[in-house]
Amino acid sequence: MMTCKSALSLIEPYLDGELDAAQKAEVETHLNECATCPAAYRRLSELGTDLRTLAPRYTAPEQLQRRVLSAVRREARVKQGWRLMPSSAWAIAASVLLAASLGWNVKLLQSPKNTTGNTSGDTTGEVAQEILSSHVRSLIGAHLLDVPSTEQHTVKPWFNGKVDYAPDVKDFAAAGFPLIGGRVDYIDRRPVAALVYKRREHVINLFVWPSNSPLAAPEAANGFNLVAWNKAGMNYCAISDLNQAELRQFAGLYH
Amino acid sequence: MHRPAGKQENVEERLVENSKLDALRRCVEALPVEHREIIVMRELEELSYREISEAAGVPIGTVMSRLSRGRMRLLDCMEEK
Repeated sequence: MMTCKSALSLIEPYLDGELDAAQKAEVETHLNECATCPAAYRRLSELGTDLRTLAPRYTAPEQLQRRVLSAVRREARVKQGWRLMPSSAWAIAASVLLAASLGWNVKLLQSPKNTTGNTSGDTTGEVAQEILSSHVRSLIGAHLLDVPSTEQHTVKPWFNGKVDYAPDVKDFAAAGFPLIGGRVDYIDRRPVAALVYKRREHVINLFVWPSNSPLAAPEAANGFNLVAWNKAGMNYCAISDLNQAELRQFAGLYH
Repeated sequence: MHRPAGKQENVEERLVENSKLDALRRCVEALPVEHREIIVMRELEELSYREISEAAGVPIGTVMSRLSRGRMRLLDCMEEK
């Protein structure tokens, strides 16, 4: 059951057409059942209609239009470097909203590039999709951490009996990637350890499970970056809205 | 001259509607540029969050927070008028 708080945070992405079918249905159900949220919905919806009515009278400055067009024509992949992050809670709220708005559309994951070298049928795309879904769910809901702890010696034994292997738990607080905890998720038809790290206000989920066939994950999907590697019979897949360069730096620490 | 009442009402509605849109246009113009730019791209150019993020060179999260703040400002501004 969706709370008013999350419904209100999803009304704008809903009106902007940024939600997937499942999330849209949840918002609609809430709006049908709630006594207070429809008012906010109507206000925002009317504002959108009024703004679009203004469109013929109000167009973007020419320079802005050029920027928009050239950016839209460019390839979707953007090189992201260091940049200033908004420091307030807005950044966190926004990244949660972002996660909520993206859903788990699988189009990007199914592009031919992403399955190059995958000889084991279509399972890789599905695993990467499950990882993306798990990451998004962890950001939306309350289920980010089963074991909230910055102590690797607490997190590692916690997995005993929950998964049938011992994930390598490391803390990189000194390098600016503090461990904040872990949880168990169900991926590729088995329970998988997810280690959760932070980089500034970005959440990194690192999935670890035993496998001899490396995961051919796409570098980016739905606005999230992914880095996957295989080491000593274990698959690792890090996913975050952090930029690709820093996520690779994180992966490099693990190697 | 005799005029059907319905038509009279339509004219009045249009006048009210026009003054509302004029007020909205003034509110849009009063927005800080970083909010206005993103509202224009979303509502008038109908770009997705991702496209706006690329065009404005800001993260998608910032697009969303600016859109939301911009809309709240517009709603507040319209209430004042």
